[in-house]
Amino acid sequence: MNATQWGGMTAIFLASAVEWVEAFTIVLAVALTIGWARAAGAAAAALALVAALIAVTGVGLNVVQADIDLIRAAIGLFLLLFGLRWYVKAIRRYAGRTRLHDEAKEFAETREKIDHAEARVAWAVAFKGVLLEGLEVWLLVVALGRTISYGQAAGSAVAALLAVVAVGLVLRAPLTKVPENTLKFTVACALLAFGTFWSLGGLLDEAKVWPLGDATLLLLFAVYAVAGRLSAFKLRVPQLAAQGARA
Amino acid sequence: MKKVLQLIFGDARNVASVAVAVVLAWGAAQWLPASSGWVLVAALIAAAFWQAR
Repeated sequence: MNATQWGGMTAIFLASAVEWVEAFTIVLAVALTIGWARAAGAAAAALALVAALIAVTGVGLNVVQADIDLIRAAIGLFLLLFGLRWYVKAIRRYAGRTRLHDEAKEFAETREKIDHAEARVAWAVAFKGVLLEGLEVWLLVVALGRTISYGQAAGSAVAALLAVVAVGLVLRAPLTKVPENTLKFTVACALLAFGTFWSLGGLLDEAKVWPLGDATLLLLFAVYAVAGRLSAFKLRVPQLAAQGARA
Repeated sequence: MKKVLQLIFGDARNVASVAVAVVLAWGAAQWLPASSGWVLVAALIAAAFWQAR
């Protein structure tokens, strides 16, 4: 291989890794609430769909390129709706305005059904997140793959996926020790960050709305996390907040 | 069906919150596109505070 090919493969590896990290973040967040098996199943289903799309349409890039902004906007809005709900719930628990097991009492009879339905929605969040990132990686492979062979480009993207998954699996164990409400709050902040980024990026010109690009995601996450904790502090009910803070 | 929709989209306040936030951001984008994202963030945080009261 010559320098151009190495350069092209490195570029695809790094660019794909950024997209896979975003996808893995969503899968990780969902896995913390519905378990790894179901979250990994959602990710695998999304990757299979991307593979099927590639197999069916080949390099029919124009079809996907035209719709990717719409897909991004739709998934972003879905994440905003879902994320905002969890964000509010977590703030209320931190503030002591909702007891940790109030929902269990309130919905005792239908609790199992509700849990099951929520798990399905969470599964859909992981599925759509991976699907979107998978489509973006495909676009990268096709666009940047013009300088090298399609196989080398796809191989670089798959290598990046395996590297991200390997790093992610190492991080899995420590995360299981984090308290429940902290997990849900973190998941909500991550969903809102992605939802905010994708919804406006899809509806408007992404480069103009988010000039910092993907790095904005970290900033968005931090802003939502700080604002959420400040909101909980402002809304706290002293006696119950202590219970929420431990959750 | 209603419960499933509610689980996906939340209650009317949740849907209204996101809708208003997106419309505000869209409006901001007409004047200053770089500010629109942060308008959306601010509106969602305000909505979360309002809902959590």
